[in-house]
Amino acid sequence: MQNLSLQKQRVNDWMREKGARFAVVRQGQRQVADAPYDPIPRVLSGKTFTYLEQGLIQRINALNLFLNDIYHDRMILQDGIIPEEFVYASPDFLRQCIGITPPKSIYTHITATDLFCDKRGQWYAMEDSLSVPDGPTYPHFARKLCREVSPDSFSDPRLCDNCGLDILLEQLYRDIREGAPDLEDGLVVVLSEGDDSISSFELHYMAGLTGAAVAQPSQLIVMDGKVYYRAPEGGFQKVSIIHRLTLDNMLDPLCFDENSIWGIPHLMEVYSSGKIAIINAPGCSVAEDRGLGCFIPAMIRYYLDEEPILKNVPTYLPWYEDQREYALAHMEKLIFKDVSSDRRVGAIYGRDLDEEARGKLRQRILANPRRYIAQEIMEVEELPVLRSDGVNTKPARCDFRAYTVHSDSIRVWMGGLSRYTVVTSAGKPISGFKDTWVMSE
Amino acid sequence: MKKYAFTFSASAEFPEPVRGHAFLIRCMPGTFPFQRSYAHKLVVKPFAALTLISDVYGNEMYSGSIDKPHSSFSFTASGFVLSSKYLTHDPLDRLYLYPTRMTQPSPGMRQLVASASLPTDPWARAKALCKLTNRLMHLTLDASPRTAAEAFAAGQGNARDFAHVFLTLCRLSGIAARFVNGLAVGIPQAHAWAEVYCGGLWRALDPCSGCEVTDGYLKIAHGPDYHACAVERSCYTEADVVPLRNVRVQVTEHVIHTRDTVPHA
Repeated sequence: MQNLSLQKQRVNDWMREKGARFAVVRQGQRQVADAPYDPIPRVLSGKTFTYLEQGLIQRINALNLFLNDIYHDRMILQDGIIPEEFVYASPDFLRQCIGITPPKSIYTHITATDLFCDKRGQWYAMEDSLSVPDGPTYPHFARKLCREVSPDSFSDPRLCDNCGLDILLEQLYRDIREGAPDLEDGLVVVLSEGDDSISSFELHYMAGLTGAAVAQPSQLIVMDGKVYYRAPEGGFQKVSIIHRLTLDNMLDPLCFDENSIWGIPHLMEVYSSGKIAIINAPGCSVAEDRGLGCFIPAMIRYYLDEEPILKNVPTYLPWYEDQREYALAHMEKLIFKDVSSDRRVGAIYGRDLDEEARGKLRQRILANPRRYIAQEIMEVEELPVLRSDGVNTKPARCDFRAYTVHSDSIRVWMGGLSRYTVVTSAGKPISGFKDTWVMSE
Repeated sequence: MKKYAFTFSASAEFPEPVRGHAFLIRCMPGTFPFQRSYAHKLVVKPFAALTLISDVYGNEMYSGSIDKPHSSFSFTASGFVLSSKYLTHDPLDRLYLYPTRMTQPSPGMRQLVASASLPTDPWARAKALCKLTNRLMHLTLDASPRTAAEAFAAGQGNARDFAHVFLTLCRLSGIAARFVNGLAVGIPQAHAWAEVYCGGLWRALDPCSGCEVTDGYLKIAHGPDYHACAVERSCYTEADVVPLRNVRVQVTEHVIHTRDTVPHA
């Protein structure tokens, strides 16, 4: 326990020094908050990890094929597997990306999938972050710092190292370069929204891992059909890969949101010519729509002719009349979510609403049924979290964010972000994170 | 077949000199099955090297940048167009059946389509909706950006707003419809109308006149809404630049003499 307290203190102090904070959603509002580290890791057996790994590879493969399809032939819509409404009417379906093929046809270079295990040990997939999959650096630095404080804690030979994140990223950059004949020879830059953004810490850390340059949009310019990085010390260097932690509509104000003060004018012209790769490819966020997420099992069957390995959380789509009737008749048993890929929109528990609030929600659903999903309330497993006394523990609901890297093949990172939520004695919810230990057996 | 000479000039004056000006311009009547453009010329001031590229809808556009500070920007496109009956056999792309951000229907628009007694034949229905839009909306020259729902609620708007309202009503009634940017005889600004997919063809209707597009319309570009095929998009190093814009269009019809040679596309 002594070691655990030391580890906790070391990581939390380091995060405070570096300004590493989380974006959390509370009462429908996005807030920036400290994310306390809990030193008791989630432990995944080799068998469990292999199961999740197979499920994630299958899931991400299907999502990548789906993105390729809807920006090209759109066969899945023509064959009626997914209603057109779920793609064409989505604000995240970027018509500007139709017909553009990213290098090696890979859209989903780095993904984060939120999973949880129920109290019976059954794993479920909740949703996937495909455009800006944040969070992988947190367990990475936590492991590194804890290893410095108490190396003995990590002496179990079955514990797999999670240091391979940088190797996976470097391999990704190399594979993209090797497979894209039109790609310019040049730098990898990590695109930042500015030093005060929530992702600022993470992208600086990621750039440090791989040796990539950190660039703000104003430091990237398009000249003669190529992208150049204007180095702070002067001079221009050609860029071949942009690894972004920015949303699609902030990439190119001439192509997407013309009111955006961010972005690199003419970037999409260079991208469509194949001279630059963007990680993740523009257009990914359409598949983050929670409504479309319900069709992932159907995508797996359609594209891969396989049965889904990972289960989806039981979900009702009010867009379908029968499912709408069920959801509205059982509001107290369900969680309602906006389908928006904008993660600022939180979840509403039907059981927490009084009659009047339920009536208002019902009207909103009836007015725009495509905008909502309803999910069963699941019994999420609880893991021990160290109390502030540094000795005792208390149980906390904990999910698991798993990361994949997709280059020549899809690889699942042997680590991940386990996020817990506890409620303080004052009734205030606090979200924090844990490391995830993957064991070899 | 008819022959037209066109001149399309647009200028922008900036309150302060701007730098890092990047732009895309769709200003030249294109070549389509019913229309052939030739001998065209584009002059941009200050000088900028231009690259001709295509957007995802197949429209041609000019891409350029001006780095040095400048207080004004202008382009003048001119040339000739040969035009026959306005019809296109492009296959149906079903995305034109669905709303965009600019063409989201309001409850009032839904109610209008649900309650109107419209013909079952799609072409007759599209014509009826075109007339309805024309009757409900008052044409203004106000160029401030508005969504279809906002223009419909205000009961007024410019040609772009008319086209957006009409597109929205068509899509609500199950007709695929696309926005068209272009020039028209007798209209001194850039004009806008819509194409609807009926009977295996794209046919054009102008909600500003309430009628089918016949002679005198020179098509530049099409897309799901104005934003997808805007005449010009610009951005600058400086944020919040609000230029003072001026547009002049002249389209004149020429009689074709038998000795005129018609260039191939």
